[in-house]
Amino acid sequence: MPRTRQDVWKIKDDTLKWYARAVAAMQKRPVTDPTSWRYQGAIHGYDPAQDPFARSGEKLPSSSEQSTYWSRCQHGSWFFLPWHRGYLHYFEQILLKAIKDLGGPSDWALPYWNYSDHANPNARCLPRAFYDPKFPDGGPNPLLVKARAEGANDGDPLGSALSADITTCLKKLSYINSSGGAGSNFGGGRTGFSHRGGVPGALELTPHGSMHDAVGGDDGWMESFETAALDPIFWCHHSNIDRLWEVWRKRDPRHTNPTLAAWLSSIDFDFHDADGKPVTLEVNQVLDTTSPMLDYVYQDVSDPLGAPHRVAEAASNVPMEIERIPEMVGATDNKEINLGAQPNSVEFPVKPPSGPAARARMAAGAAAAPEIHLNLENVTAEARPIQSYVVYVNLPEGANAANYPQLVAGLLPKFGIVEASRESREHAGDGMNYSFDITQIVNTLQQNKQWNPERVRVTFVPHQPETKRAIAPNTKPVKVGRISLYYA
Amino acid sequence: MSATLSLPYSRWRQFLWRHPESPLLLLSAGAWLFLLAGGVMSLAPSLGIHSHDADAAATLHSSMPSESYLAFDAWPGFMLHWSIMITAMMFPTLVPQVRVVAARSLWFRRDRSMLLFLAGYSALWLVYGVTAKAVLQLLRLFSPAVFSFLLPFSLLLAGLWQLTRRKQRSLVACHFTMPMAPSGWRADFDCCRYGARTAAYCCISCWALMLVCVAAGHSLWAMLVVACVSLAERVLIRPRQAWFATALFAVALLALSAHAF
Repeated sequence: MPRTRQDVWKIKDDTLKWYARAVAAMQKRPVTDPTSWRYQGAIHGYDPAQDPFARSGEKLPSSSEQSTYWSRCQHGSWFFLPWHRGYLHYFEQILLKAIKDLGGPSDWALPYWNYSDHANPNARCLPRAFYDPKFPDGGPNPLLVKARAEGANDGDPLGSALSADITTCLKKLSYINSSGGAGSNFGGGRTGFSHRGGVPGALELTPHGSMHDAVGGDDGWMESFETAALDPIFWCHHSNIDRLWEVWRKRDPRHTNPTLAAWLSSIDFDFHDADGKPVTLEVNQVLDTTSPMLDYVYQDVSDPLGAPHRVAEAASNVPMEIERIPEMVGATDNKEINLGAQPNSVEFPVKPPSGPAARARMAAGAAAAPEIHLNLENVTAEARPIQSYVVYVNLPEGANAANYPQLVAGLLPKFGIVEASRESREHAGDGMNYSFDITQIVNTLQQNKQWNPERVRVTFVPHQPETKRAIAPNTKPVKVGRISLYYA
Repeated sequence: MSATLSLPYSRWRQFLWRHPESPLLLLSAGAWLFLLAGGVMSLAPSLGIHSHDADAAATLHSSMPSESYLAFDAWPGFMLHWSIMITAMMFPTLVPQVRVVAARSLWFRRDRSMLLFLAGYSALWLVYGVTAKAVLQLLRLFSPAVFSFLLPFSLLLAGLWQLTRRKQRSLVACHFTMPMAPSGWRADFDCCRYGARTAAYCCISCWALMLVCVAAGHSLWAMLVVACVSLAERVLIRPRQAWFATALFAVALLALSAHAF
């Protein structure tokens, strides 16, 4: 019988105590041990300058070993979900072995943090076990990390409802992003091995990136590729992301994984098993969580959007699937757009589509209503941003943004922006790229006769998390290289 | 998913919409065919090149660059051959960037944007080729003894360069993308600029490998090996530069042995 990964807020047994004990055991191991806490964290990303545990003169794994196993996380890619599933699996196996060695249960499974649970008013708060200063066994709590957002370790709700929103991602019909870098779907765009990343999928953007921001705050460990996995809540966050993949797949028979060999078997991912022995993994080995290798299920994979959403979605779907080819119809010029403490609006002209989008409409008429995507290209930041931004489409000038939730394109996460903005051995330094589906917003504006097809206005409003504390403005601006609009 | 919408356009045209990089690969394939078929040899008399490929074959044996190839009167032939070489060897490495240029351009100017990107890219590589040739000519003129060791020396240099941090970083930077103006002369300028900037990173990454090609008198085998290494190090998940370097050192030793005996 598969092990059950439980909701961290609904645990009634000692799952979290055993988690803490196993984490403490891993933290005692040297960084050269592949089953140590630091080694497992470095698999996600490693930068000696950011390593909070670094000691001068300490022995690290050889550069060849680091090159094979460290800084391997997949972002902005269709490998984001399967790579993290494999990563979690071997981490869980290492924990399970430590728990068994300590005399714990042999069916222990990594819990998940469901911050989007509307039935739980504390859903976006960290469970107490992650910030109690004292460990029940005595001594400091290994699940406590001080480098978190203001209020996180006081039990405050983190981020906002927008940070934990799962409506957009779960309603995506396809797994793979549209070709050409415009139009994000559920799982990400087709790439090769992608630590650098292209355009992320809708799940990776929100709630994945936004909840990293919510926990990490201005400079917490969860804010950076290189330190995120050193925070024990990271693993429960990613367990939830992995669960949402199952929720998406089960909520609609049209929600299917890619079947291309390029996804299933073209790349081997390198990890270590619970004994510290090297192992490789292909995507097709992690698609069934109940397989003998993975051997787990989630406590709850029911559809959180419910039947009414499904009916509405079915009604809004075009009668046949259109193989959409995105076509850029307008963009800002190449002057960087600086985002600071105040809202910032940018307008740019749009031309009518003349390529595949126009021809698809000619061929299919109203049935081929275009998808419209807003792309933010080459988003960079020199210093770690404190604030993230909510992106609005055609927000009236001077309007109070809070009164226009129907115009929200999405949340611009800041997770990983600084790393992606620095030229390094891992990154080209050209920043992050995001794509928001604004079809619904444009439809609403058209119905209200407020859509001008020749001009678009995009407004960035600093995101205000629901915290009792004031958020300081960014010391250095976030820069958007270009904003572009696509029809598909 | 259900049926695909049938558009009133040919499959080939739809394929080109989805794969705007296809002409790039066709160009590269054409350039390789030209090189394989000895196209330069057929042009040689009119361009002032004398039995270039035959010289190149001899070059590998003697580990010395071809005399006629580096002659001062061979500039037009050199530039033509160098351009064909860049098209054959380097264009396949540009697939991701060309896809980005196409996707980030207004539909009516996609082809123009891609061409301008390639023009900017090729122009910078041409500057590198001309500079390399000029330096080698001067070396031959003023230090014939050192010049005679050019091939093994360039192989050793290429092997060492593969192991440097700068090489690693520029290889990653080859995937750089940048914002481009959507229309007007600024869009044209940005496409050229993006191409030149990509070439700058590629030159930093591959200058030593390309020097081997020059030193080997543009031998077809040297071009094939260097093209495979350049493509592999971009496609592989985490290229083992130590392997490439070891292979280059081994060939350098062979070339030195051939020179000694």
